[in-house]
Amino acid sequence: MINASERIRWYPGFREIALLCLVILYAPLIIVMIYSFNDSPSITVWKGFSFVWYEEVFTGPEAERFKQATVNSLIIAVSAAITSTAIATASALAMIRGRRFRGQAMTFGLINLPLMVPEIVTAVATLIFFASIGFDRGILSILLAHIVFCIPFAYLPIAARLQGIANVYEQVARDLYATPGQTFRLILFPMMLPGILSGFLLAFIISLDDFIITNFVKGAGVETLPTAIFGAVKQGIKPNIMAISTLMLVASFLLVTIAYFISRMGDQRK
Amino acid sequence: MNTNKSFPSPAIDIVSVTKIYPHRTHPVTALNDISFAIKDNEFFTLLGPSGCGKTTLLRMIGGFEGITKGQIQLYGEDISTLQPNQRPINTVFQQYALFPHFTVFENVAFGLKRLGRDQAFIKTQTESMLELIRMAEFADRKPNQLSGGQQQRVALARALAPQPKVLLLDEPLSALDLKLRQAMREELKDIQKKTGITFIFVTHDQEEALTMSDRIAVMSNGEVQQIGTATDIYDHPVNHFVANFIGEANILKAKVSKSDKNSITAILAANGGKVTITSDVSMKKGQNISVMIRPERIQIGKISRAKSALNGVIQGISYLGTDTQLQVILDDGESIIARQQNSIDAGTPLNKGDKVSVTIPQHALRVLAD
Repeated sequence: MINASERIRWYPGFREIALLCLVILYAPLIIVMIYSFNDSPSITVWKGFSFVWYEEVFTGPEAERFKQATVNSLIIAVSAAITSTAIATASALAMIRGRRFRGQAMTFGLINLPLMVPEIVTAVATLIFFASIGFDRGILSILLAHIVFCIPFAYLPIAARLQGIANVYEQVARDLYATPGQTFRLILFPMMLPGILSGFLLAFIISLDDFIITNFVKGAGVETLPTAIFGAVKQGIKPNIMAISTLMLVASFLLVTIAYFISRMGDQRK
Repeated sequence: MNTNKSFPSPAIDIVSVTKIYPHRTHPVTALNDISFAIKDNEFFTLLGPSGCGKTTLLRMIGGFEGITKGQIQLYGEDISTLQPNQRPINTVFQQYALFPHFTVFENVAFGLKRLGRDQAFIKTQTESMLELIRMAEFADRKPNQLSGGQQQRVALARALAPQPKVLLLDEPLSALDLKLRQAMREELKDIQKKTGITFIFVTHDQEEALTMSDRIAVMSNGEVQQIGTATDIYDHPVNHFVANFIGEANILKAKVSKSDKNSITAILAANGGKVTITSDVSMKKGQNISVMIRPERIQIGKISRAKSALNGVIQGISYLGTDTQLQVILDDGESIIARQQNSIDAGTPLNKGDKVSVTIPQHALRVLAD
């Protein structure tokens, strides 16, 4: 017998289409990575291997600006990820383990709607909101906006995980003399943890590389890494941007890998 | 059995318990005014088809379902309003639900820790439980490193470790394969005897119920149909439901011709034969009744002239290993099932279409209520 994954290779042109997709997806990234090591200010002509642009990133004239932007980005991403993960965990518990309530389906829609609203619309709306209540734009306004739009991203893996945990585990714990609080702390939370961690990492990545909303709600002079990079690119693309991009790519890749192993660990536990 | 440990009140007393699941248009009555008592140190089984209310009742005793009306008492004390963690009753759930992030030892020790027992006691008690289920060498394993049967035993040890007054078992064997299930029956019965804890076992498997239980409550449609020992229920079913649910039953129509104190004489509709059946229920003369006989009590032979015998034709033969099952259509059109043991000296084999005589021993007949 031939299983489904074997059979799909037999479709004519399947291999070619798959290769084309991979090339379109990854060729630009690979070119950026290669040219970040180019020993030349040109972004198209290869002159030899060097770390000069990485030095430029850390010591060059723009180093201070990028450093500040990176610190801002990390502070915002970590705080936004922690807060939105906590909110997402609470709402997943209420939606999946709580009593049924009126408007439950609508609440589910409201939690996930931001995923479908065009980001530019959210950006404009958030800006108008901050302006109308007279909220000072700065790092705090960015943080608040990030917390809000990270919630659905954190919610999805957490809810998926919670849905996969049969509620008999909580019943067993209650049966064995655990209070509701102990049941959550000792049983449900540890079992949800892989979902919570991947929710956290997803929220972190989404916050770290957000540009549109950040650009709208940031105050003058406050930069995150994506807005700083955009600002630098406006004055012409230099290979140091490629170096920063490569660094970000490596960081993201590491995080995604960690998330993958965490979720696999969770699956094995089941 | 254990008379010196007897309690004045039963282990569990179910007092006029009703459970209604509310619904705007179709409220469902899961249990309809049920009352019975489960004795101390008893292996008690709730048996019935799915949807009969047996699991609902078990969950109510465990504290996982509210009671609409009535009361559940544990050794004379009303426990109806207590939370599951406040009841000295533990449950073995159908899904083993071992905590995946704990080792076998930590799983078994969980209840004792929550009860705040001291470390030394927790250790010895947990170890003796693992000893009891022959899993001592698996103490440090995680649940996903165990087979289904091993997980089942750990779930049992986990529920037994806090020394509950009553242990509830919700179809705990249904996920195991046949051989393992049969072995676990013995083991459960053995553990119940060793620990002296009252077991309340829920199953839809009549064989399980018959082989393990001290007493069985047969349930259907939210009501208890009959409570008794395995022999009571198989041999003296009170009504059609019990007769048909436990084993197989042939139901014959008859008319009462005489009703005495301890017996009824009735005329079988099939051949007009007169039978006398022991029964303490008095009937009116002329009343139509149903009489029941188990397939293995019926004797099938080549055609005979004996008056008491019914005549029929073999319609079907199924070979079942130890037995052969015969389906016979009687002369009046009624169909009955008979079982014959496949012994070496069974004589000439019967074939489909053979005319046979069906002998029904009077002492094996039972009168059924509707």
